[in-house]
Amino acid sequence: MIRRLLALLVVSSVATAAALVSPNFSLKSGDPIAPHSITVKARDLALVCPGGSFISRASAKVGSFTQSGNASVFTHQTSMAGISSSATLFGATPQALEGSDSTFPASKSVVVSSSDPQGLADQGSAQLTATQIQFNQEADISGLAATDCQRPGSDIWLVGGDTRTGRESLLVLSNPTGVDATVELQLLASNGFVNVPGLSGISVPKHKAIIVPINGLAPKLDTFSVHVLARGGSVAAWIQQKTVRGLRAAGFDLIAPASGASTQLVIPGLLIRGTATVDELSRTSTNYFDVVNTLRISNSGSKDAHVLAQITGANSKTFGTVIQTTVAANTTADLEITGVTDGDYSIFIKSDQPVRAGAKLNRSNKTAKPETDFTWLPSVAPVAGSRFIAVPSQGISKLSIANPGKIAAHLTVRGATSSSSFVLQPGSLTSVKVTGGGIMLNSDLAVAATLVIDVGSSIASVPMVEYRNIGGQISVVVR
Amino acid sequence: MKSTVTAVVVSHDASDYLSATLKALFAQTVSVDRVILVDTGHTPATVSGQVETLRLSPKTTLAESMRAACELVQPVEGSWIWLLHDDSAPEPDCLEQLLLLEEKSSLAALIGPKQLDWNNPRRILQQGLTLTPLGAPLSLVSDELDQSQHDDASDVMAIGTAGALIRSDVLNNIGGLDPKAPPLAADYDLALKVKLAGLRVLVAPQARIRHAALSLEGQRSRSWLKGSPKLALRKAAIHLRMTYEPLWLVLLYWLFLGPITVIRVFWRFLQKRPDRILSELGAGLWGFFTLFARLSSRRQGVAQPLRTIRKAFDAPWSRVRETNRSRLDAEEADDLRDAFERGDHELTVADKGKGFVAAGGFAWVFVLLALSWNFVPTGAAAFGKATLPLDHTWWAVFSRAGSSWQPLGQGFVGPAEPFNWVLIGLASLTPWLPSLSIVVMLFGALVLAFAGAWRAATLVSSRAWIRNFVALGYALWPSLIQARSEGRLAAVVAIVALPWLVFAIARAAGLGRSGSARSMRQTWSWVGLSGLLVAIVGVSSPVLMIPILLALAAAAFTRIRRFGYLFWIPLPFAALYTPLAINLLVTNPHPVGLLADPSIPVPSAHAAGILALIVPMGQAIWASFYLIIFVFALLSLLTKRWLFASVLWLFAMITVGLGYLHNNVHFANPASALSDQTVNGYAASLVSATGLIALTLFALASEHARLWARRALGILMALLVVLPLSAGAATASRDYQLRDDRVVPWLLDASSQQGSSLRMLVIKPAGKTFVAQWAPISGIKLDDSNVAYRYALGSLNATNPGYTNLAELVAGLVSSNGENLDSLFATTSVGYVLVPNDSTSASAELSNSLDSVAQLDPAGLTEFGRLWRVNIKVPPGSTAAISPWSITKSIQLAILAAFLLLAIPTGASSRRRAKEATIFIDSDGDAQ
Repeated sequence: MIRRLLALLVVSSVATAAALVSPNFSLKSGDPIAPHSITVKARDLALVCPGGSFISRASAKVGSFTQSGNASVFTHQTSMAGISSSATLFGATPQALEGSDSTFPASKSVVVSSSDPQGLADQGSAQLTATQIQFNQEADISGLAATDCQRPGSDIWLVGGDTRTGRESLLVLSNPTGVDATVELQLLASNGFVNVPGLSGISVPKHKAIIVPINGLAPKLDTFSVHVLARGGSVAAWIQQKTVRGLRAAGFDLIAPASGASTQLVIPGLLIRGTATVDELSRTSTNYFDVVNTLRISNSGSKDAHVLAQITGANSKTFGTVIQTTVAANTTADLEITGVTDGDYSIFIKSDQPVRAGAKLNRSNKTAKPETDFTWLPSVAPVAGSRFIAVPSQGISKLSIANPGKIAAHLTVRGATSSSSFVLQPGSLTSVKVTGGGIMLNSDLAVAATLVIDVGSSIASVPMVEYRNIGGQISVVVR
Repeated sequence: MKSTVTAVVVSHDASDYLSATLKALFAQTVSVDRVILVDTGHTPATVSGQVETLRLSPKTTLAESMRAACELVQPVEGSWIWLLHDDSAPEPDCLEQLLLLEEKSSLAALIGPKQLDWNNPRRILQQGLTLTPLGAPLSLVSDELDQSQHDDASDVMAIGTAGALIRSDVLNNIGGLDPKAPPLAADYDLALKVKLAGLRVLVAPQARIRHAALSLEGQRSRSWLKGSPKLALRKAAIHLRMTYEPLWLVLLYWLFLGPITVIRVFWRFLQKRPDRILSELGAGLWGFFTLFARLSSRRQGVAQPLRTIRKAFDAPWSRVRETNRSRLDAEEADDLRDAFERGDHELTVADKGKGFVAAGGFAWVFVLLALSWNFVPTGAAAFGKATLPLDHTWWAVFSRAGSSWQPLGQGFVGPAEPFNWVLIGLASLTPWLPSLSIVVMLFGALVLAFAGAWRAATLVSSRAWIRNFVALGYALWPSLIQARSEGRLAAVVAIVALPWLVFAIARAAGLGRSGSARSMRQTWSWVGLSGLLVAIVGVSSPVLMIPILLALAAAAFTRIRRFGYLFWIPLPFAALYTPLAINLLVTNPHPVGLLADPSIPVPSAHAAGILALIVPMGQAIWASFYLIIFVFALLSLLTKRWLFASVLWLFAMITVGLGYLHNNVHFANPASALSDQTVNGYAASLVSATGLIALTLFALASEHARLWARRALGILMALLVVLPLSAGAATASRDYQLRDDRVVPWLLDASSQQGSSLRMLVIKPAGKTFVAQWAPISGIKLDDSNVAYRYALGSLNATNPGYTNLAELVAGLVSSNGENLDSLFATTSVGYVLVPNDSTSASAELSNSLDSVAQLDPAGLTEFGRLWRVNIKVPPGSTAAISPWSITKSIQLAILAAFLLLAIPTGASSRRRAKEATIFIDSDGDAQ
């Protein structure tokens, strides 16, 4: 028995020691693949602006839209030797863009492009950026609409829109390529994907822009996002959203694409003004039920997303608020932003599932017949380094910058005549008033920025997006 | 006229026997007229009496010896030669009986005695020879007790030359024994020539001769028979067939001698006679390369008489079967006697315990199936991070195993994944839909593990409840549950097969309480099964081979008499793994890679210590209750089998230590993040092996505990181990989808099934780097996983121009800058481009670029991603030109087939099982 007890003692001691004291080590085997490093010239950068607003004339046949008025297009392009820029209205001949800043009217969709035969530039907004703005004050369309000119793509999400009575959502699809595009749409509403005929097989001929009236496809829909999938040629897409209260046009905007689905999003540019007026309007008149600022979250994933939206103010007076909600899988949800005072805000969103987001910012004046306008602020991908935005000369423009990172970012905003540098703390925002022309934003860390433009009681926004075709030094690993 | 008899004794180094033979010769009731001793021994034989000695070279054959002796005898009528071997001692009246028969038959020219066993004269060794319908030699009577049951026999086809009485004139006329005939065919040759001369060949049953058959017993030098007795026998069969069959049949036989030999080799495996393999191969080669010598032994114009003789004397198939069965029974009886003398007793019924069914095994099977509700096969294929569907057809799966060329990249010349052989085995279960077998396997894994562990438990316990607890504990062990949840097929297969392997090796080694294989055939059968199971476990979890080989070595050295059997068990694993071993040791030296887990590499949780390896992480506390089994296992050290328990504990510690080591080794995995490109080892199989040892120790402790302690252990086991583990199994998630067996969009799948060998380029953005996968358009499937390729990719990317071309193509595609990519498409055979769906802006960006490439036509958004078709003419890849066969594969397949045949129990074994209990229980005197 002694030997057995001894065996028990030895085994239990060794086992305990081995279980508790295990050496920590790591052994690697195999050679990692060294990527092939290849230098390629990027495709020339071309951006598309939608042109004048689309309206349905009473004289025209039902469902037929024409472009009304001229939008103003502001461009900023590099003046580097060997690179030339031009603007081409659909169906017209190219017009060279001289200097670093240009302005021209666009009644139709226009392609702004930068030719770089040697692949000298690093692309992005430093090479070419363009902003379109249009102020309408007509009987059936009124308000300020602005947007950035897009690089055409094949997979675009637009978060925003409303097709209830008095609201019109027109999907603008522009195909600047030399190949016809076939587009498929998905409408992700509050109760899932909208299943109606007419969402697929939409043909967008080359060098043409077409309108898909979402009201016709899904009327009386208050909450949705639109997914545009193009085959063949690439397209640029916006939602032209307008509001009519009774017989009076009361808002107009171009909704730009939101950044890609992510668990962390940021929406800069929530510059809230006239809160008391808006509250009063919404309280006293059913006509103004939609003037409340709203956050829209779209979850196209297969799992419910638990979302925390932090609406952060720029200073201690604008405390902001927090919205917490669950957005069911394959749905879009609207969340009212209430309880915030006038001030500059940005929305920082965290989610356990990738989501997309946009926010509707309303404006109104306090008159007997209040005028209202709105803009849909898309979520914007944060970017570091130097980039440019072409600021329109009309109205008051503010560049709203948000730092979604975890450390302070050092920023410089430089215009033609002024320059300012500052430090932006993590999770905070700032708004910088900028004047017309090309404005450079330099940041050592990734920050998101949106240009918000006020003209009277009208408002519009332009997300600051970097468009860069793939080129330069590319690494490729073959498995 | 009085007959004269000259005795010719041929002696070859058997002086003891020769003395006895000569003594018996001189003691004949009818004395011989003359004795000629032909001595071909290395040392001259010492003889006394009236013996004329003819000393010849040791290289002299029997035929030459005979010829030399006959030259001394006058070939006249009435003169007989009595041919005796030095190991054949006639009974005193042997010659008298032979001559008596000669007197009765004037046509008798060749008369043979009844040959009896030298040591046991009650056993008949031989009494006349014949041929089977296929022309193989057959002894009419052999290994039978002599009860005079064959004493009425007379005319036969042939007789053995030992003790044969031959008319000297006839012998002279027919030219004696054929010197070109192999020694054991010479008897037939002589007799048939006598018959063709119109004379009779008789057996005189009353004439008895004791024959030691030293040649056939292998007690003479190999040069006497020109090889082993088995080789000589097979040579004799081939010679007879090629000498006495019609010429067209002989030529056909010669042409097919290779395949025939191969078939016979496999047949020997099925017979559990691997000891005859070399003789089959040697004789086959001998027959093939000595065609002209065989043909020169043929005689012209004897076809018709030969047919008549064969018709009259060939043994019918019933006789052949009966003779074979008698021989097998005799061999089995010998084996059983030997086993009994060794002390390998059959267990009594009480010691055996209840069988699987009586112990409620099927009830537990249904419980385990119910616990597997989440894994019910509702789809044709499993699709997840760790598992993928197999190829659509069985043949496609088969062609991927053992091949030396893989359709990966632009074609990878390297060893196939050894695990693919397991995939073939699985695919063979549902050959119409190979992927379904994986789904079924994952569903039934717990049941198979339970059944295996139950068998393994019979080695240490006779109690049904202990066996059930051990089996349930093993089947529900968290490592198996987790491996199945994640769809890690290789680990699941290794864990499921492990207890079966333990049981099979124990049976082959004669270990454990459930009895061992006592006959040679049974042992070979277990060796065959063990070999296959070792191969299955080894290729599924190479790291598990370390403790298995240690255990096998321990078993071999503790049962040294079985070493000769156990030695062969790792052979199939070695055959399957050697090509990869050569690749990772010589071609692309990464020896640690030999322990890499096969199949799709998926990282596992890093264990900070050995304890963390066993304790389930991130689960409720009750999920860890089962660890109390290790406390129960410690109790085994207090039983009378403490020494055995100590050894098992040592193995448990080695196994879990290896598991920890394996978990911390990072193997090449280009599919992981670019910054790392490794995957750590998955230790589930080693953890399960540790669990099996712990459960075995629990069984030992319970088996030898007192009644109250046994009851307490049983209750604690049920409450703390089985119940929590069952709850864990019932709530286990399934981390793979059940769906159809495609891994690419329908368009590509259909094209691949129509034989297209174009390549598909899958591009994934990863920051500024683009990861390109170069795959057949049928996609990357489970049978495409390849450890050698994982290790070779680094150097292929660095040195292979094909990979550089592909990288340039990718760069051109993603930049879509309008450069002409036609030549790059052509050299890489890329016919389709796919960007997987991952909803990232980088992927959208990439798609955007591809839309602008002139050579690409969008083919739509599929469930696997966005697809583009190349719209220019692209030459196909080289897949179709490469044969799925290789020398390596043939060898591997042959070894696997041999072990499979070896593993299949034969009818003889079944008959023996029916008989043995009676024999041994009776002999113990406790027949029940």
